[in-house]
Amino acid sequence: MASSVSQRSEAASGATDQTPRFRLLLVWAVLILGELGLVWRLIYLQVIAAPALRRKADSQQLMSLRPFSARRPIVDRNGNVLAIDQSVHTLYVHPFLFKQSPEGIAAQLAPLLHRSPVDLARLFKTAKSGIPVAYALSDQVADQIKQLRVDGIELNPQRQRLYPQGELAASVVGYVNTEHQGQAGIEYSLQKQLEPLARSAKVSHDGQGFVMPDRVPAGLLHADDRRLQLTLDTRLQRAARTALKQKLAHYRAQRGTVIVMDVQDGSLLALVSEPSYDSNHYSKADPELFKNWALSDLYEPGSTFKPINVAIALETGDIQPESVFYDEGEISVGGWPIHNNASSAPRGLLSVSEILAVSSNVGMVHIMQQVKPSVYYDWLMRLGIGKAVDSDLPFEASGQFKGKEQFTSYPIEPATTAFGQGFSVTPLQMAQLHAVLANGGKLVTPHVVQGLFNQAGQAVWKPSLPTQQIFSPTTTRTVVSMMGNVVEKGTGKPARISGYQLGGKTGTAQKAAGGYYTSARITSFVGIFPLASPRYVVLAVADEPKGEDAYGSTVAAPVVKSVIETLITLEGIPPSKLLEVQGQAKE
Amino acid sequence: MPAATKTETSASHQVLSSDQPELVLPPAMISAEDYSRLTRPQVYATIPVVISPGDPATLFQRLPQPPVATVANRSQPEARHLPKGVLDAPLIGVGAVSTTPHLVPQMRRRKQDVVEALPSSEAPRWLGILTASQRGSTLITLLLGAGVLAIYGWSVYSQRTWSQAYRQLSDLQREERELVAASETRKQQIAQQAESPKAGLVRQVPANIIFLPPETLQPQVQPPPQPPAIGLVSSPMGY
Repeated sequence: MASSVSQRSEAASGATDQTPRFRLLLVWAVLILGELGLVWRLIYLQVIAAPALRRKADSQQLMSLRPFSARRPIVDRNGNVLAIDQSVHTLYVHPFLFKQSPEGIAAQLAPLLHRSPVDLARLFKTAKSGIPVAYALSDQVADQIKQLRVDGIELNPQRQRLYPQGELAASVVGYVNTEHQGQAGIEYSLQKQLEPLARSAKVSHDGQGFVMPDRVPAGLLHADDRRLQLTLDTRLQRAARTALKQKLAHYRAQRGTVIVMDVQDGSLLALVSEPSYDSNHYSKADPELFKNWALSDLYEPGSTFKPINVAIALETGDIQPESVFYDEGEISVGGWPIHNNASSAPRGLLSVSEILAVSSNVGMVHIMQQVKPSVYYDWLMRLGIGKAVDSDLPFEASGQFKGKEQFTSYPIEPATTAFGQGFSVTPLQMAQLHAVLANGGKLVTPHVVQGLFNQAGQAVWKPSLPTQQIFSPTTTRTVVSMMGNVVEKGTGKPARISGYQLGGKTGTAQKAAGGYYTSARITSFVGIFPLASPRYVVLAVADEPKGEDAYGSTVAAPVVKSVIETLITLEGIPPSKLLEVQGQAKE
Repeated sequence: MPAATKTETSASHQVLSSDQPELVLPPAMISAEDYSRLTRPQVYATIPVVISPGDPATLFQRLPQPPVATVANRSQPEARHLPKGVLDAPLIGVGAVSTTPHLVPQMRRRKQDVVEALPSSEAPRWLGILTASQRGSTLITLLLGAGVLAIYGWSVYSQRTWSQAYRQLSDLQREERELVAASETRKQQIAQQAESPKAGLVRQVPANIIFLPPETLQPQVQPPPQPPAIGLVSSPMGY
């Protein structure tokens, strides 16, 4: 210091002119250097280190905002919810972050979780971090836990699917697993339509924890209000299930199904398959139940297939509605014996209508012998026998049918096909084939999904459903009136409803196992209602009913009757007598 | 007293009479104009000015002046001792009765002094515009500053309002979900209870339904005249 002072004074005394200038320059140089340093630092921070610094700032300041984006709900025809997402929370605990004693925290959590504090305290000692304590906590409980303000607690928000109807629609709706992916039913086959658009954004919070809107992207808050609407009617489904369960329990049958289909467009009003499972607790169910056996299992239709054969024969012109055939009771075709179900006694001359009414196998063989086997085969292929129905439910099985060579070479093949044995279809396909007769000859696609609708009721997406004309309306009208005769005078008498007219056909087929027909039966009944202008097809199938009196007419027909009665009350269908009276009054 | 002041001067200094111009400036500070003016032969009638001891003019001292050769002195033999150049150089006051002494910065104001006008007080046009624009921009700046504060306050307020509204929205959505779930579960419970035989309910069958044929169109029939109304009932009606 002293030396610099002396230096300065020397300099001052020595060069009085240059010292101020030198000092000035020195100061200027120092300031300029400082400024350059600042400029360099600025460039470094803003340009070179900017990305890394921005990442750091974002990670500190921004949090991701994930509005609750739920999987779209599934509703039935009338808006009753069949599946809806709920917001639940999973509670995790990290004991190493505890500020209080584990026992104290356990005592605080125990009343909210409905567990004993001792259990919880023991649970907290098992690990240092990441202990799952409770699953599927509701929003209120989660809020209460958050208000405790305890360190070391983590609540993860999740979605949980709730099925309010439980077992009722499980065969149609299916279930989702823990990753919220559909595994069965509509949840599986329409996964894409059900999953909402993933929405999330990084947003900043203000001092009080409120979300600041400046970073929220446009459209994030538009709630996804679309829902998948089914064609099911829950009331009819419930009534059908009750009636079916009653009969299945009475005859100790293995399983059963009821299908109610609108013939004009193929929409299914009810699809019941028993036994069923609770979609909310799918883990406790037998995995065999996850596929709907109404469309994934094959069966030999038996006598219910006869009206379709008659329609084929009438359409080709090989028989007339007034044709008459002789029923011998027992015949031999290609070396194979064929006889009627009830007895082998001959019945004499029967008209086509009577053959259907008494369900004569021999009569049907005679009818179908009028049709050339190759023509017969082509008609069956046109109807889609041996192919899948292609509905919007998953895990569908395609029927089995012989090849053309075998069908045309061996006369026994068309003969057994004439009375509905020797090939297999699914119950849903059987309903579709009867809808062909009911709606004037159109092959419609059975479907459960009406479409994706928004809250305004507008359809955002609808499935594409092809139709195809197979028979002429005159043929089908003739066959349907013959089926009306079955119910009036034939085997379908148990299905009669006073004041109403319906057509139907019973079916009792023996199940084949190991190449032989066993004594196990599969009984079915199909009804077409109302007879004058058909609107609905109702099919009931019961697999392996036990007892001597277990036939289609005793097991399945009453089920169809009660389903049609419920249908009448739901839809308000006036009795046919009233319609006749009205028709007469108009004339 | 006039005579007293004049004795302050130094002995070697030639005190001039009072009828000479007395505007004095040190030789380095005199302007050319003034110099030419002063060297012109002029005669002024002067009024003696009294300088009191407190006058600021007394702050200045009179510097000793080199002897100036006057006309009267030229003929004197002392003048020859002057170096050559002295007489060649224009002597202040040569040929004039009046000569100015080198009296340094004692300024004396004279009414006859013409005060030269300063350059025109009208500012050049660009300066006027600049000043006006400065004033205008200051005003605009103040207004903008006030506007900035107002807008900032409004933006903070609107953000707060949005945040509260968003919280309300998510609460409402949550409530809606819970409501739907609760109502659907209740529906299911009611339906299940209705099915159980304890409820005492029977299935609806067509036999229990009344179907009314719709009325056919008929010409308007006059309704029969209404019977007179029954008198007012004083007691409450019940079934």
